[in-house]
Amino acid sequence: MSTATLTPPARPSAAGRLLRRVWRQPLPVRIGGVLVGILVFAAVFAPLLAPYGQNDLDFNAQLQGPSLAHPMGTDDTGRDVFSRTLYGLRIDLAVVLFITYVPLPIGVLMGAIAGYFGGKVDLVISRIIDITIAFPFIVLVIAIVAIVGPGLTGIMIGVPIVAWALYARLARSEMLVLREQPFMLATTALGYTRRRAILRHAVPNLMRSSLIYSTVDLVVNLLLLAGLSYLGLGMQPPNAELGTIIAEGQANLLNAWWITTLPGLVLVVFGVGVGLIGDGLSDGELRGGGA
Amino acid sequence: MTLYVLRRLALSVGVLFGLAVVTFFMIHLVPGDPVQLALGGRGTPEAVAEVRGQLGLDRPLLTQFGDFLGGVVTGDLGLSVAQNAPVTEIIGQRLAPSAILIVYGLFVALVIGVPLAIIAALRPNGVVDNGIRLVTTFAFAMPAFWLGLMLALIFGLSLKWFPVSGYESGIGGILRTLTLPAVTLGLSLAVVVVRTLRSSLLEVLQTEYIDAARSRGLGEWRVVGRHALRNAVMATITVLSVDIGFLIGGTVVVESVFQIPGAGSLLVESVRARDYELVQAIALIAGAAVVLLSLATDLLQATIDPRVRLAKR
Repeated sequence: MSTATLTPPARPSAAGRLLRRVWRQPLPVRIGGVLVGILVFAAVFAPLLAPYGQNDLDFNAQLQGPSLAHPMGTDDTGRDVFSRTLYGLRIDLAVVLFITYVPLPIGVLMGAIAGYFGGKVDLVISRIIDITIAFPFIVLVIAIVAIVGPGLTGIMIGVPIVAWALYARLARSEMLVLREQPFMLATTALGYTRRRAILRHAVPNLMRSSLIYSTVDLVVNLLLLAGLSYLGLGMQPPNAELGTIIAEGQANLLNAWWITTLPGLVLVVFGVGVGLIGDGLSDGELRGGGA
Repeated sequence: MTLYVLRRLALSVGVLFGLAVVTFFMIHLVPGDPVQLALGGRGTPEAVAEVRGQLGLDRPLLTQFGDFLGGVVTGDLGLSVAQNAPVTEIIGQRLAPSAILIVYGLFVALVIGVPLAIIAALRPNGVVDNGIRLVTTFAFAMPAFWLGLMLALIFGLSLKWFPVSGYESGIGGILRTLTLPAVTLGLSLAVVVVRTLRSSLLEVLQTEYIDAARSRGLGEWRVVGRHALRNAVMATITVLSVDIGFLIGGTVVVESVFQIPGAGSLLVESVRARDYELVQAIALIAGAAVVLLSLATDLLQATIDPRVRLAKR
């Protein structure tokens, strides 16, 4: 038995606690965190980090290979591919955050409603989910982009219209289990309104698995966004976006491989980083207290 | 079995009807006006009204829907204004390359995915398993269009083994022109095959009947190949049926990279040409293909495994 007086340890700052918690995660999660962290940092501070403007033409430096002056080389109008990639990543990540996290709460809420009420409400919502998921994702998004018109707006409308259904299906199946839990039965016994039961008590519990699934969705959506832009249906030139940079480099694939290869590698690194984090989290190895 | 087939069939018909409803009403519910887009956004009210009349968009909504539905049932999906030809005819000419690409891609995914999954499952968490996991993590993160371009750069432009664009029919032509696209499409699907087949193999390998087979002195090849794989393959079929949509969607991008005249590249061309009738029809056909193919895989599973048809009764 120790007789020393118990003094509470000094609480580390919020940032310090976050860092320590991250450091207790498995190695792949840490590696993934570093990769994603670097790319997010580069994207946020693109205007400060980029050595050139995204559309600065330089006809004395066309199709130059990677060098100290141009780390990712230049394209056929002498634009710096590195700077364009930074700006492209910036817009890509912003749009991807929007098209991933706007449909998520909508889907979770719809799934929660379907699962909570069951019966006819469930039937209607489930059929809408089935039909939305039956379309090949990209085909339905392209069809919506065709109506709204090509561009980022079209994608930011089109993807959420389709993507909520995946979260709704996930949340609905969890809600079916959740609604039988004692604390949910208690909300009925205590006479809480259904709205309060769903929004305050069920939805917070349903968010966790949707948030974990959303890490996969982030990568899928990033590839989708770049793919649509590559097809000319997303970001419109001349502004930089990873898909359009790659598309513009296609004409010079053999004599200027860097224009298509290097921005694509940035996409791969981001995807691998998020994949490592997601794998670690879904393995149930999230250490350091409740999430 | 008959009951299961009928129930499953009824569900598919319901979803097919839903697909028709969505493709039809999308144009009315989503903000934006394809007629204005078709006129380049500068259409005078008179011009817009005229095009609307041509397309029959000025009639009551339910009349339009009735006509549309009647057309769908009889295989008449309207007229492409841009190409001045029946939509079904235009799409019909472009279906073959897409269908062959999908089958070829699936083949590539299985040829790459199944052996890797078996190797990974035999020594879980070994060096090879971790290596395979690393490779699949990378493959998952690769955009299909970028992977296609890289393959075109290496095997097309540098090594000159394959052409980098175009399509030829016939066995030789298909092997020449569709191999790189099929590998592009198949690699991303192989990732899914490896992951699901590996984990379901791991599960099966821990069951008692596998222990029994081993204790009878059967060789490892026979235990895995004949006994374990059969049970593990069901999970993979399920995943593949879910990923049919992914395969069909993938053709859109891959066909555009390799300039294959299929239905996928037609979709992109139609959006650029603002040919909304064609876009609508392709979306509907793609959706219907997914529904019918997943119906087919469900029935296949019910035939292979009696537990499926009995559980869902």
